[in-house]
Formats: sequence, C-alpha cells, structure tokens
Amino acid sequence: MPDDVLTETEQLVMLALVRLVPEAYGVPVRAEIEERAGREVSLAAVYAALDRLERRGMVTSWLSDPLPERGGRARKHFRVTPEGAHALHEARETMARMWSGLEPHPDLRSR
Amino acid sequence: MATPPRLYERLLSLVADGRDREWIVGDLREEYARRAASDGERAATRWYRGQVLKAALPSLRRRLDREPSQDVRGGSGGARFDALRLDLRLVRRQLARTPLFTAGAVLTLGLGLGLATAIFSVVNGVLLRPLPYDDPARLVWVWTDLTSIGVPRANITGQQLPWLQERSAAFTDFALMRVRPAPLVGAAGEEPEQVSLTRTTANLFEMLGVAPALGRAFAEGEDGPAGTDVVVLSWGYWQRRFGGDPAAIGSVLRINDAPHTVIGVMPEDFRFVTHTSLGPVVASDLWATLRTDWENENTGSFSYSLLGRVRPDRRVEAGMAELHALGAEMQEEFGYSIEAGLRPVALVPDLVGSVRTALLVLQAAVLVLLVAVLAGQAALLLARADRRRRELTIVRALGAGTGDVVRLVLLESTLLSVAGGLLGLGTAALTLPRFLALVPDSMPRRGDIALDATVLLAAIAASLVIGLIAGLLPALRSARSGIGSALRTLSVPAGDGASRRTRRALVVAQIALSFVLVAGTALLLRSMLNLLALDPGFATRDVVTLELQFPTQRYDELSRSVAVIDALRERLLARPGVAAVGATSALPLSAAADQNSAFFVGSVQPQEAERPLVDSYSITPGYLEAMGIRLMAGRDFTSLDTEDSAATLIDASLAASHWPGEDAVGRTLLLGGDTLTVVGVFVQPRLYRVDEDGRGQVIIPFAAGGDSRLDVVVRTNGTAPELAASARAILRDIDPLLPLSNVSTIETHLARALSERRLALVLVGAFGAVALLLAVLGTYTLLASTVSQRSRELGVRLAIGARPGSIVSLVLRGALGVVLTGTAAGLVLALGATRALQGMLYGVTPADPLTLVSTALALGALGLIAAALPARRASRIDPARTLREE
Repeated sequence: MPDDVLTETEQLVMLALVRLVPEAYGVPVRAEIEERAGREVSLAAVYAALDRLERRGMVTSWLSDPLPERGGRARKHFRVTPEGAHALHEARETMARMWSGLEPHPDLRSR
Repeated sequence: MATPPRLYERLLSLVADGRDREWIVGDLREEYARRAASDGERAATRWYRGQVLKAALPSLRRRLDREPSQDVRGGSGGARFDALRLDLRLVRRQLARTPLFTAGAVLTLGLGLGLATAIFSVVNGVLLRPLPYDDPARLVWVWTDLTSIGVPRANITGQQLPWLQERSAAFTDFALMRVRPAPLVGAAGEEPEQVSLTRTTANLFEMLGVAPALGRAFAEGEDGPAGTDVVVLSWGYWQRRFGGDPAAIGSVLRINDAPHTVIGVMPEDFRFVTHTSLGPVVASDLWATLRTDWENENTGSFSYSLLGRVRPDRRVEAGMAELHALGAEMQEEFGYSIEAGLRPVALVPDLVGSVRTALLVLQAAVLVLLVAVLAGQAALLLARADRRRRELTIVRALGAGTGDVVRLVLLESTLLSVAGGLLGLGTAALTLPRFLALVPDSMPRRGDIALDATVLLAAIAASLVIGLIAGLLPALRSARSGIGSALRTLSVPAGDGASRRTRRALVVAQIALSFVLVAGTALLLRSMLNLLALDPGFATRDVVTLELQFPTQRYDELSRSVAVIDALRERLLARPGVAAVGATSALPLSAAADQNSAFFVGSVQPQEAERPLVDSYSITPGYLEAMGIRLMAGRDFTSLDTEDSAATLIDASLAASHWPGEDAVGRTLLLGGDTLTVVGVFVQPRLYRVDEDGRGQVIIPFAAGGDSRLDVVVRTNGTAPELAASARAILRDIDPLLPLSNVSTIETHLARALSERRLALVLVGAFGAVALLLAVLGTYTLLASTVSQRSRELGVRLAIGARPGSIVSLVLRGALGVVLTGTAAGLVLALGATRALQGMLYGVTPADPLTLVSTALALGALGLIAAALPARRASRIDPARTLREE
C-alpha cells in the first residue's frame, strides 16, 4: 500500500483525533468511532492503526503523567500532523472524485 | 472505583503488543470503570474479556509474521484462518525460530530411525519375507537320523527315494539332490571355471512351484542313467557368463568334461539353497539332472539331500509324523548295522535357524534403541513445552480449547518425527549397503535383504508412533495445567515440579537404555578381542590358499592328482618368497572334513559301544609347515606315505584322552575299515570355529585317500594375486584344463569365520553410539533448561555473595543425581538383558563386572561432561541483571 493512502480504519481514527482535540487518546477515540460511525472497534486495533500512522508521520504522540485512575499508568495522547491532515484531505478528495456525477438512488440512502 | 479482574488484566498485559502495552492496559482500565459504573461490573467484565481477546489476535499474528499486521481493516480482528493451515504455519514458524532444537530433534530421530530401519530390513528379508516358492510352509527336508553315532542329520541314500515315494501317503512328491563344485568349460581352450552345481531329480522345480524365466525346466525322464545332460542356469550366472543374452538357451557347456545343453534360466528372485548337516549353506550357479542310478546304489552311501512336499490336504505335522513312523520301518527294510531313523525338518525355520537368535537379539536392540529415541524425543518436547508454557497458556486463556492445544503440540511432534523418519530412510538407504558388506555370504537369504515396501511402511509407522507418543506427554501436560495457576506463575516462566520430575525420569530412562546397549557392545568387543588373541592352531598371516578341482573323468587314479600336486609344489617352492607349500582336503575353518567313527586300540576311554566320531581329512607333505600347524611328537608325512604305509597323524587332544601319559606314536587306530599306525601328533587347527571344535582330528596322507578337490596352501611373503598368477602359469604347463579357484588368504578365512560376530559387534555398537548420543543430549537439555529456569534464583544467590564455584557444583550435583540413577537402573537392566548375548560371547560372562563397571564409569563421565556447559553458564549469570529484572 502506498505510504500516503489511508485505510478506512486509519481515516476513522484520524477523524476521531481531529474531533477530540485535546482529549485524544485510546478510550475516547474508540468511543467516538463507535458512536459516530456505529463501528465496533477494539482498542488494540485502534492502537495498531495509530502505531502505523505515527511511523508514517501522520500523527504524533506524547505521554501524560501517571494517573491514579489508570492504576498509575501514563496516558498516550495523539494529534494529527500537517502531513496527516493532507493525507486525510486527499482521501476525501479521492472519494469525492469517484463519486462526482453519481447520484445514489433514494432507496440506498434509507438503509 | 471498579477495576478489571486481575487475571484478565494480567493476561492483557501479556498478550498486548509490547510497545502499546501500557496505554492499552491503562485505557481499558479507565473504560472498564466507566462501563462498570453505567452497566454494572458483570457487563463490564464481559466487555473487558472481549477486548483482551481482540488485543491478542493482532499481536499473535504479528508474532507469527514478525511484522506489524496489515489486517486491522474492519476492526474485527482480521479474517478467520483455516484452523489447520494456521496450526501448520504456526508450528512451522515455531520450529524455524528454534533451529538448534529442530535440527537436534530431527537429526537424532533420523539417526535412530535410520539405524533401526536398516536393521529391520535385515530381519524382514531373512525372517519375515516369505520364500518365493509355492506354499513354502509345506516343504520339508528329510534327513537320515544317525544320532546313534553322533550325526543327527546325515544325508539320504538314493535307495530311500523310491521307497519313500511308494510308502508315503502324506507327501505329493520328493526330490533328491546333491550340491558339488564342478569344473566348467564354455569353449575349447578356455580356462576352466569352478561352479557350484546342483544335480537333482527332474521334479525339483515343479515341486517348488517355480517356473524358469526363460526356456524350460527339466522334463520327466531327463534324470537317471537314461536321461540327458541338460542344465538350467541361475539368473546371476546367466548374467555373468552370457551377459543376459537369451541366445544362451541351446548353447553347450562342458561340466566335468561332459557336454550339457542349456535349457532354461531361473527368475532373478529365485533362491534355493541346500545345506549339509555341518557345512555352510550353498547356493547354486547351475542345476543339472541327476544322472546316477540312485535306486541301485550302495545302501551305505548317504550322499543326497531330500526335499518333500506335504499334500495340500494334509497337515504339515501329519507329514512329519508319517516320516518318523517310516523311519522306524526303514531300519529293517534296509538292514542298517547302526541305529537309523528319518528326521524331517521344515524348510523355512531350518533355513534361518542358524541366524534366528542373532537376528532376534538385534531386533531387541532395535526396540531398545527406538524406546531410547522415543524417551529422548519426549524429553526434548517436554523441555520445549515448558519454555513455551506462557504462550500455550495464553492461547488457552483466549478460548482455544484443550483440544486445540493438544493438537498444536501433537502436530509439532509429528511434524518433527516425520521429518526425522524421512531423514532416517535416507540414512538407512546409505547405511544398508555398508551393513550388507559386513553380512557374511553364508547368511541365509542374504540376497533378500532390501528396503522394500514392508520396511518403508514400518519405518513410517514407527516415526508416526514415536511422534504421537512423544508429543502426548507434553500435550497432556499443557492441557491439564489450570489456566489460573499457570497465569499466576507466569512471571516465573518455568516448568513446575511435576514436569521436571517427568523429564528427569525420561533422561534417567535414556541413560539406562544406552547403558544396556553400551554394555552389550563392550561385551561383544571383549569377546572379539579374546577370540583374536586365541591361538587357532594355525598361522594367521602370510598364507595364501588356492582351490584345485580335478575332473573325475580324467583323474580317475589318485596317482595322477598326486603327480600334479608334487610338480606344482616343486615349482612353486622355486619361486622367490615362497617358504613352504602343501595341500589339504579341509582348510582350517572350512568345515570341510569328513566325519568318521574311530577306534583307538588300547584306549582308556570306553569306546566299544560309542565309537567316537572324529574329523578326518587328508594332507600332502609340507602342509603342516605351510599352514603353521605344530607337530608335538613324531614326524610329518613324506612322499613315501601312500596307502601301503597306513600312516596317520592325530591331534594332541585325542592322544591325551585315549593314551594318557603314553607315547601315541606307534599306536594303532581303526578308521573306517582301515588299520592305521600313528606316526605323529599335532596341535589341532580349528576346523569349524575359532574358539572350539569339540571333535578330535585324524589326518591321512593325500596319496592314501585323497579327494577330487583340495586346497593348495602356500607360505609366502608375496601377495595372493602374485601367487595365483605364478600357480596359473605353472598349471598351464602341467594341465591347462585344471581349474584354479577361490584364491584367498588365511586372513580372509579368519575374517569370514568371525564375520557374524563382527556384524553383531558393529550393529550393536552403532546402536550403542546413537543411544549414548541421545543420553548425552538428553542430559544436556535437561540441565540447560533447569539452569535457565532457575537463573533468577541462581542470580540472587550470586548477588548475595555465593561464589561461582558453588553454583557450578550445585548444578553438577543435580546432574549427578540423574546420571547415577540412570546408571544404576541401566546396570539392573543390563544384568538381565546381556544374558541374551550369551551365545555370542567368548571368554567373558554376560555379567562381567569389569565391563559393567567401566561402562558405568564411562557413562557417568559423559553425563558430567554434558552437564559442564550448563553449569558454566549458571556460574556466569549476571547478578545485576537478575536484580534489575526483579
């Protein structure tokens, strides 16, 4: 897969990050995707996607201080980078180009 | 605030990908608390369990692929894998990741299974494969029972055949035959060749139920005085002389100076051996019809073998019983002066009787070896299972059933053993020709030994069985251990006490089994050395032997043969390097002597009734010197000793037992119908076995009672081919049609006599070596894994000041326990098992203390050497690192 092309999961995760600033870490990201997209995603899958995105420079992360409600564990926050935003936008444009000129039938919409 | 169950959280921290472990665990704890507050702890726990499972899948797959999973699309954790393919891939990758373990397991399996397969192919060829005859179980050899004069299996007279054919109701037919070496000439002027010829009644092949591959078998009426001289070739001889040319049919061969027409060629796999009561089995190059008038021969001429076939509607035992009954009538019918009967012996068990015990001992050794291989494999797999416990526990905790884990472990074990089995087949294919080179020619059915379908199936079955059984123990162990307890101890990745005990027991078993094989090897080796150190009564080097066969038609008077020998001797002595020349009718270790009852006049032994049997043979002057046979008293024969001088030589044991304390020279003995005077006493050269003959020897001059066949013996410092060339050149001047054959050295004769022992020694030795290797490997693996399991404990000890030396001795003490127990168990086993070797031992008892003690010491030393490496590693554990890990 070319480096600047995003899978659907990656797009969902990045869009969630954008919406959740500044509370963007695993738990809310998962919840956001579940609520808005209606998708059951596991935390591990979220982190696997974030891990890949980070290595491709699309997101960056930082660690919080250890928190008592997490059993003394740190929290890992994520933010979309300009490259990530560019790729996200590119993905949207790609879809739009593919859709342009096509008008879905109303019956499709209702499902 | 609610927290997730510790068990699941712990599990999660194990399965979650290392990099993200901390935040995943943290995130899930947060959300667990939120869900517990809104939906209750039950639902939260259910949700949490699902998250743990989903966390494991990508991480497991990533471990398999050694690269981050690409497969989180859809977020469900990826597509489902076909179970078996996933299993196979998992097992293959696991094996590839531990190349040392995999190579070790496959190599030891391959070696052990290879050796076992090679030996099994011998046992299969000789004992198990049916003979290529029609219903071979109904074939019975018939001997004359002359137990009354010490010969339980004497040959049959020609007269017995028509009598038996007439009187027997249980047999369809009988075939009469006789095997003799015969000189053969293909074309005029050709150098004569000595062949092994069976002369038989025309019904032999029909009785065996075997048809020739080419041409025809004998027809009725071709035997007897009115028959025709026709000959059937063996496949081997057809290839050798005619290069497999079908035009051989119809050609003429001169056998014993009489023309014989070739009428057929037997199939390639046809084997038929005849054996005498005392000599080795003989296979034939050619078969010709018996042309003598056997019905009217002298009643005392016991010179044929007789084979009968029991009727299909009678039981074999009934046929045997009938022969016993007929034997009782025979005494009266033929008016024998000595007590005689008939002794029927079934062909199949008789054929292999001589090697049956040795082969069964070897087969037992094969089984011991296979059990050792199995124990070794089980120990290796258990050690591996302990190391992989964490992983297997996770797999189970994630919902893989007990069956899945068992399947996984068994699959791995089976994969290993099948690979080992394939390697073993290769090893067997490579080693079998080398074993066969050691197998004596006299071994019955030697030609039937091959890696055939039965052997292949057995090898594959053995490897599968070993794989399943060896894998069962670790599989059951991983399945049985409770997940909870396993998870609690996960921080100490190790086998528990029970597993260690099992593995110790397996290594103890390996050591004990290899002890048995090594002790057996040592006993056989000592027997061999004892035998080689024996004085066999003849020179064991610098002697060349050549066989000479006088065609009976031209050499109808003994004086002619004597003249040839004398001339040959005189001219050979003139050659450089030749020290002495003589000839004999019975070479040492040839079993070629005749047996006669002798009467020693004035003997102190009661012999009127018993008439002790002696080995008798003839020699020419110079033979004793050439063969290095020592004369104790009196003189050797001279050229003046002919039939008239009635001189004889006897061996020292006869002289001492019959005329003790007296001079035997000048005394009289009766041999056959002759009255002979003892002119000399010699030290007995062994005629049968290197160690013991059991019968006395009486020698007469060749000029007084020679045979048409003899062996020329030359003491020389030249080589056998050189001497044979000289002898051929000389013979061309004397009689160009005399065949010279079987050029050999005394070393070869000795080696042949010891060949069965050497074979047993090499085979048992090879087993011992492999078993030893397995035991050392087992000991090493056990201790190495013990050290790695205890590295934390040992590191702590080192950290608080224990000296490395004390750690080494701690590990070695553990090794000593295993090695000592194994050796002690091996000692007990060996005391019982080596008794099976009794018949193959010489000058050493099966429970020989020296052998057993040195075996124990050697095994103990090897065990400690195997332990040295892990011990060293233990002493080098870095205490600082151990503390950091805590």
